[in-house]
Amino acid sequence: MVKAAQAGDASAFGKLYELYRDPVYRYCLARSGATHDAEDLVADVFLRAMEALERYEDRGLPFVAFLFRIARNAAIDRSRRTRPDMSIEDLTNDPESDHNVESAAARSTERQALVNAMSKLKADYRDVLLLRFVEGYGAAEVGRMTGRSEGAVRTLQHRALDRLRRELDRSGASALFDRWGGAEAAK
Amino acid sequence: MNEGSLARALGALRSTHMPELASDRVRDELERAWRDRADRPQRRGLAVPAFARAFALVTVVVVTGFLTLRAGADSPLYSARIAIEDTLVLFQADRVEYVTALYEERAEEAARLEAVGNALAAGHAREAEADTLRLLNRIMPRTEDPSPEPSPAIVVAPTAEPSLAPTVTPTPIPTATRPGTPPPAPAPTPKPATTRPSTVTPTATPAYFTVHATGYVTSADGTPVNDACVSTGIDSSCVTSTTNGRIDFVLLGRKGQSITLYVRKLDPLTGATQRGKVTTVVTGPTLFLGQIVIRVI
Repeated sequence: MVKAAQAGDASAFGKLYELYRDPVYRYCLARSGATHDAEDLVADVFLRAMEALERYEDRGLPFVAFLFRIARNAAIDRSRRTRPDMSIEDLTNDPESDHNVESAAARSTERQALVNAMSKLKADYRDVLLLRFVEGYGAAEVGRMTGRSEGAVRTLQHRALDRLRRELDRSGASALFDRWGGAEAAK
Repeated sequence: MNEGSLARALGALRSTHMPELASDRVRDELERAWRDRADRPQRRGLAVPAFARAFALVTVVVVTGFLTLRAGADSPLYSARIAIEDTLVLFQADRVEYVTALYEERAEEAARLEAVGNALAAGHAREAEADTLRLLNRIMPRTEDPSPEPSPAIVVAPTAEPSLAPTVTPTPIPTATRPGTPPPAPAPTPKPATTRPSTVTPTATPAYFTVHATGYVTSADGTPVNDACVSTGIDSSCVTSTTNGRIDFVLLGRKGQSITLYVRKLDPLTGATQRGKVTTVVTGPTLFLGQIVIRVI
């Protein structure tokens, strides 16, 4: 699909967008902390990817790693221009539909608290948490994506989780996640 | 809240999707950008591919290097050529041989330009020639410790006949015999005088060899002159300078070649320059210049 897009196939690039827009969006959301910023960033990332497509070389890494690298640079550029801030809209803009309004609201609050805390982490910590736990890549794969050894990724991941916990404690949001240690975890 | 619960909470973020409305907006934006991009290939098609650019660059470098290394003294690239050639000395296995060849080449070029009448270019070539000589003096291994032996004899000889000694006899032996008896003198003198030019030049031995030149520079009152400039042209750059009146350096010459060396010394107090010169013929690997007296002309 990447090769077809490189050859000028618009529909192939469209498929790449459909395939990777959500991981890129989550990555951008975790970095910016605000949905509207994340959406703008996604557009920016794919526009940059389009321009850089000719230079892309398959070196055994998933294409999404290429997009994450672009996203990281795009987010850095953006953060230099603007300061991320949260909006009320972000708290209510929950893409997940849920019949149980209370439960949906709780999850939205939880998610927002998590995203908020992650946006305050160092970029390396945030990246490793996103790639390992949100996107579900193995430590070895994350290592290849970020140029680290598997052991280094695990160490970084441990520190990142510790830092995230402290961030949640500081914001008073840690109680929101108690359920993940009990009933929710059992699910 | 332990690591496990946090990791699970993070995993729940995977269910976060980009809102469809925003996704559609981005898709439209990308489609527009793709169309704009599709219009550009014509312009890109004109662009030179990377390998061709690299090839062109290499070609330019090679051609420029070639032209530079073949630039004559009348070319603006001449100084670049000299710089490159001088730099290449560092990479030579036999530096002396390389510099000797350079000297030969530059001397010939200077002579050719002088013959043509291009004084400016010839001046450049002469400068380069003098620089080469200086370079040769720097890199030449100094093994001439036997010089202390002839020097006392030389010191004595010039004091008797200072100006004649360098031109007439290359070795100190004839000077000792010459003032003694006039009748036998004519017999030996015609031999070298007639045979040398006729035998040496026609043999056509163009090969240069290193010549160890020594001599003395004194002022009119006979005191040795320190730090006087010795050059191959009247006001050209110094090939070497004197130390306590002594000239001791290496030059390149051919057998039978006539060499003129100019000596000058600026008097900082009066601002006047004392000058002197010596012309001598190369006969072998050692060249005695004799005593050169400098005076304000």
